[in-house]
Amino acid sequence: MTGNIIIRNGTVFDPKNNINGDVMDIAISNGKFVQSVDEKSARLIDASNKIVMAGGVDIHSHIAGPKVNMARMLQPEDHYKNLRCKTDIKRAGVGTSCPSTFVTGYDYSEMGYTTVFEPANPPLKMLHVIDELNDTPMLDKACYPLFGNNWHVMEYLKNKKYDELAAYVAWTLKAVKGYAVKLVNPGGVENWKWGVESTLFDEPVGRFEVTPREILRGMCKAVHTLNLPHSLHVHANLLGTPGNYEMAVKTLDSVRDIYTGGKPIIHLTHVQFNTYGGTNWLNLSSGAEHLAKYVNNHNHASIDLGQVVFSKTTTMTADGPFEYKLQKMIGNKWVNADIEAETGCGIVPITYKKSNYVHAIMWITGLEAALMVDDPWKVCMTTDHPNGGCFTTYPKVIAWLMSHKARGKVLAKINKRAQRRSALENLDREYSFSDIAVVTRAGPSRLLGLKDKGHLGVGADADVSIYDIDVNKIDPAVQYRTVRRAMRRASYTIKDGEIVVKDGQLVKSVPGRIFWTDSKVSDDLAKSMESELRSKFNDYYTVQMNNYIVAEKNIVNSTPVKVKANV
Amino acid sequence: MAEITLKLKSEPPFQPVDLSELSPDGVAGKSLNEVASIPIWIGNRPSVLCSIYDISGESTSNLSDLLLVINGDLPNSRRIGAKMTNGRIIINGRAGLYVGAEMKGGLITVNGDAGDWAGIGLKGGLLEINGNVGDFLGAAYRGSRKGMKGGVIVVKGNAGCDAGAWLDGGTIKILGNAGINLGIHMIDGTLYVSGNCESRIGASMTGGKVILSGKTEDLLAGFQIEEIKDKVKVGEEKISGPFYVFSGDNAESGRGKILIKKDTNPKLASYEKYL
Amino acid sequence: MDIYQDVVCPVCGCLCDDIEVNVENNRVSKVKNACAMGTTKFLNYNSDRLHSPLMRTNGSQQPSSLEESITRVAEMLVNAKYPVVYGLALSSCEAVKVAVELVEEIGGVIDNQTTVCHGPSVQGFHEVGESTASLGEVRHRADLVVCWGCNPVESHPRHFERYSYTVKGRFRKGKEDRKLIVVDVRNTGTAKIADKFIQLEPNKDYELVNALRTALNHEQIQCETVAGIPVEEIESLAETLRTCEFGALFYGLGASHTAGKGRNIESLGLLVRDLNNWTKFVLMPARGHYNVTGVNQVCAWQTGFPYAVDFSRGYPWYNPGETTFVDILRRKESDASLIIGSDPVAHFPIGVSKYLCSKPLAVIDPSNSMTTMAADIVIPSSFAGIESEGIAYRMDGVTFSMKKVVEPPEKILSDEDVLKLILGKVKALKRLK
Repeated sequence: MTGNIIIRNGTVFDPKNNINGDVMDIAISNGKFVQSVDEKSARLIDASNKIVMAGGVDIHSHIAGPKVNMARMLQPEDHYKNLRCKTDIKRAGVGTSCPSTFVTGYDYSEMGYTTVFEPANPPLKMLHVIDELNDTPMLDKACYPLFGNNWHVMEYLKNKKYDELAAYVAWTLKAVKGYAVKLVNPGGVENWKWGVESTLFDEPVGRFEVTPREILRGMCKAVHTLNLPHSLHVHANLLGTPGNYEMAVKTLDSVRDIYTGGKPIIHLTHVQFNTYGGTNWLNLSSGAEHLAKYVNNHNHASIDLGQVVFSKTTTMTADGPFEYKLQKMIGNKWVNADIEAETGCGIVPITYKKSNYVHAIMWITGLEAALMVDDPWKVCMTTDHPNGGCFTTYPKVIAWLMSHKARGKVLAKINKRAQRRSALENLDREYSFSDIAVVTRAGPSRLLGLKDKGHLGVGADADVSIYDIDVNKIDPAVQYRTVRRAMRRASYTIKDGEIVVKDGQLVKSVPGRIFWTDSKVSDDLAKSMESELRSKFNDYYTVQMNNYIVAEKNIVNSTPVKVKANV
Repeated sequence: MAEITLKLKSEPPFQPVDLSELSPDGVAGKSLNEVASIPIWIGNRPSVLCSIYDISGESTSNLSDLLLVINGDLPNSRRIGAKMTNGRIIINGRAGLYVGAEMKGGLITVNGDAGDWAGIGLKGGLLEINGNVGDFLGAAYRGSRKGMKGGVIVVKGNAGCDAGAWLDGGTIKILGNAGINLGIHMIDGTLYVSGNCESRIGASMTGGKVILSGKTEDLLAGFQIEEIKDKVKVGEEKISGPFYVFSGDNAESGRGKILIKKDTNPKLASYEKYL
Repeated sequence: MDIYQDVVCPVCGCLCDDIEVNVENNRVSKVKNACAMGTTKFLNYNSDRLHSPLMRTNGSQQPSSLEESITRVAEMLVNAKYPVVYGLALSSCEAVKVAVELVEEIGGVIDNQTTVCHGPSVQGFHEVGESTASLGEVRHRADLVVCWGCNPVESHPRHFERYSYTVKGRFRKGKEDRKLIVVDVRNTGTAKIADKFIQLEPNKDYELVNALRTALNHEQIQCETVAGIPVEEIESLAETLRTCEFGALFYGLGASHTAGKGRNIESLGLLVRDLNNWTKFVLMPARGHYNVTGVNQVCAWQTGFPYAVDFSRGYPWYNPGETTFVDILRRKESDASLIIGSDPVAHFPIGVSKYLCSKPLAVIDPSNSMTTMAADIVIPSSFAGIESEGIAYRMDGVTFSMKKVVEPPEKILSDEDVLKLILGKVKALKRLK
């Protein structure tokens, strides 16, 4: 594949392997980290006075699929602001909050990211998702099929057929080439399909007689049974509702008893949108303290932030009812697209303004959550791109995490009433480079079960990011602008041992791979489940079961992750 | 006044010609050689201004004293005068698409027809078109809700469809006829048409004022009659009526106003019973 | 004999995927489950086939080699200052990807049949968005189906029986618990079976929607009729729409091509949005042309824009009216065209077609057409979805991997492969420059 590289004298942050700013060499051979290579045969990268980390790993970013593409089609006016020319290496494209696929790959790569997972996809349209990922270069990718409003899932749960449910989940993941199990507003989107806007945790879903709690628990157990590499990934009910921190805590607590130790069994995503106090939009407050307390006292849960950045962006989610409510409030263009028997989606463009009380509280909430959860291994840094902000704003978020001063600068400019309600001023904690390496690389990799990502240990995939930050001269708490600029454009990005970015500019385009999970259940169970599914498939869907399946030949660099189920 | 004159060479290209660098701002303080080297595009080929124009005259760095005269018919041009902040352009011939796009100040006079999207996103200044103009005059870009915000557009001839779409400030005067969807999605500002507009005046408007002295076939159901007014003011100009005043668009819960001249629209007398 | 099941039909936007095709000696001998259009396509696609590349020399078309015609097309495109590549609705998504890359290389415009079909639907979408659903949602839940300016009985024959009206759904038995309303200017086949037919005056769709929205806002309408319909009937229709349990509004060119075009669709989008304040309502364009939805999808994710994408400046630019093929031809701005699987000479306005033929013209198509007869270079290709595999999109965005059930004639390549050869030659020519 590729040759040998020595990254010399870099300041290395590799938390998984307990390396915390040591100056050392990293050796690469044939796409993997190795102990050492012969200098004479190696390309030498001088990383003196630069930070070296594994390539960035994004656990949750909406980059591909039917709703992302509808958002692109919805906003030509957004594209006009950022028109990208074709070059010898790059394809043309556009991109502000909904970049075209080539631009998505290039921009992530120039920022030092090498793995990005697309977090919410309808199985029925998974071929579309995958084909967009095929056209997203530079990155290793995967997608999470949605199960939280799936008719089969709800029926299996109602009939207490848990083994069959597990078999169905395994079948679906393999059939549509998904990586992990995603729930979005479980039960709530099915209710929305009859126009019901809000769903209570313990109220049975209309015409299906299972509650969101039962869906959560049932699916958590199924994921556990299947030994999937990533835990259940959940966008909770009541997203975007004042006082919803209670729902967030309830969601995590609802599966506490299933935990038997080890890695978390539930990942609560973009917590910022689900962690508000108050009872209405006028007295909205941050509920981060309550969520943080829960996460600190329990080991079965992990979170990612969904941080808001003051900018014009696009909200998009499988949570159709939430988007309906949002557009009613702000009156912008609106897309809603329900998908038979499975899920839905919604899109509303938004501009987050410092002067707006609600937006300011949202900004505060995400940061409070990040600063109040003690263990960075439980936290992933995200903006829920593009919901909180475009992924190109990550360096801004990193600067806020690392610098009380940086936070203070923004705090001083936000809505005064929100400012007064914020505990942020008194939160002194400042993330270190190690912490950042955890929440943007090592942590997400571990949570995703990607043992060869997110670290620089021997045998791992040689995905590297090198940033022009001299830790001896730069104090991130003070010189956060320098950190922000440096992390926006990597000195080097290396993907599978190939230099793909140099001095913040792409030098080579590579396709990346697409991961999916193949969890093997027992043959008998698989056969009987499949036969039952086939017999009723046409009652649910308007496609034939054979055409529902995504063939591997349609995937660029298909990379199955094989596990064995406990059933 | 410093004046730079451009004369179109014979056999100009027929492919799209991008002239977005051609404005008083683009030529201010430049020598003739520098003006000649102003980059343009002919289709997909980069080129320079002197490849299609003979250039004479003298520039100045004082924008308000600068006159740019463009002689010749180039209907395939795009963006003459785009984003200009001051100075004057006179185009003797057809002006192509997007003339005066996002203009902030100064004056453009077109002695000829102008194409579609003239004055798109206008912010200030005066755009005069002494011929006809195409569709989307003073409008917003597709998908955008931010239309013309200020400035004045005067069209001596006819305008096409969707004139003043998403208008949010400033004044548009059309002395001929206007096509359908006049002032669609209007938010603020004033739109005056001296001639006729067949239908869909003020569609989905939420604010602002459309005034029609000529004929219309009918009004949208979302408009209700408010009163009859003797005369109306467009900028400093007083236009005598009487005018039927309608409010709407109620499909949009809008609070815009349409004023239609009573004498030229006898059909609209049927609304009087609702007064 | 081979029997192929779960074959996806490559004709209209329904992409029915339950077709069964019998093939004997590389010929389709029998077709099951398809409608008349699908059956006809599978049985008769081979008629009037092009068998060899053609080049125009001294005024008449002569057979030529594939290599020479590829070279000539590539030269034509590379030498042009404003070339246009147009068509692709009958091609696979894989072919579209090659076409986009080709147009990027040559700095031209790529446009597709959306431009003369549901372009207005896209334009309306930009302005207001859309509340929509996959077809199965309509099947399972809709108790009210409105066909506005479309005639599925003739244009999408299996639409009602598979997706929307007579079909049984989880929560609906079929026709007996659904209502069908047709809004059209004439008494079509669909209008004849509807529960209610509203015959509006031509070119008054916008007016009628505006009146419905005004009625939904409980505002007085100060006239007696709108679009030829009495106001009481409009208010009653608004009430019917408002009080259904789940409504689905399908619309076709009857809405998108009457006066107002994109604004008509925008207003339907706003109507359906307003209805969601009262009930559940979805909107869907009845896309007609096989994979035209797929072309939009691929263009949108690769370039940001769904059709009419202009790469002449190196970056993708888009503005219907400026970068759309018919308008470029109308203004006489293009200097070369490559047509793929389409017949613009037959379908475009005649003045525009004349200009098209006056400049270098190349065509990739399986069959003879007016455009192939007028062209300077013709390259035959195979039928996507019958003779070659590839991905295609249904009108609601559901994706299918189309099947190959017969081999194409010898030496006939898919348009994907022809485009790859042209792209390769274009890159080589550019390197020489």
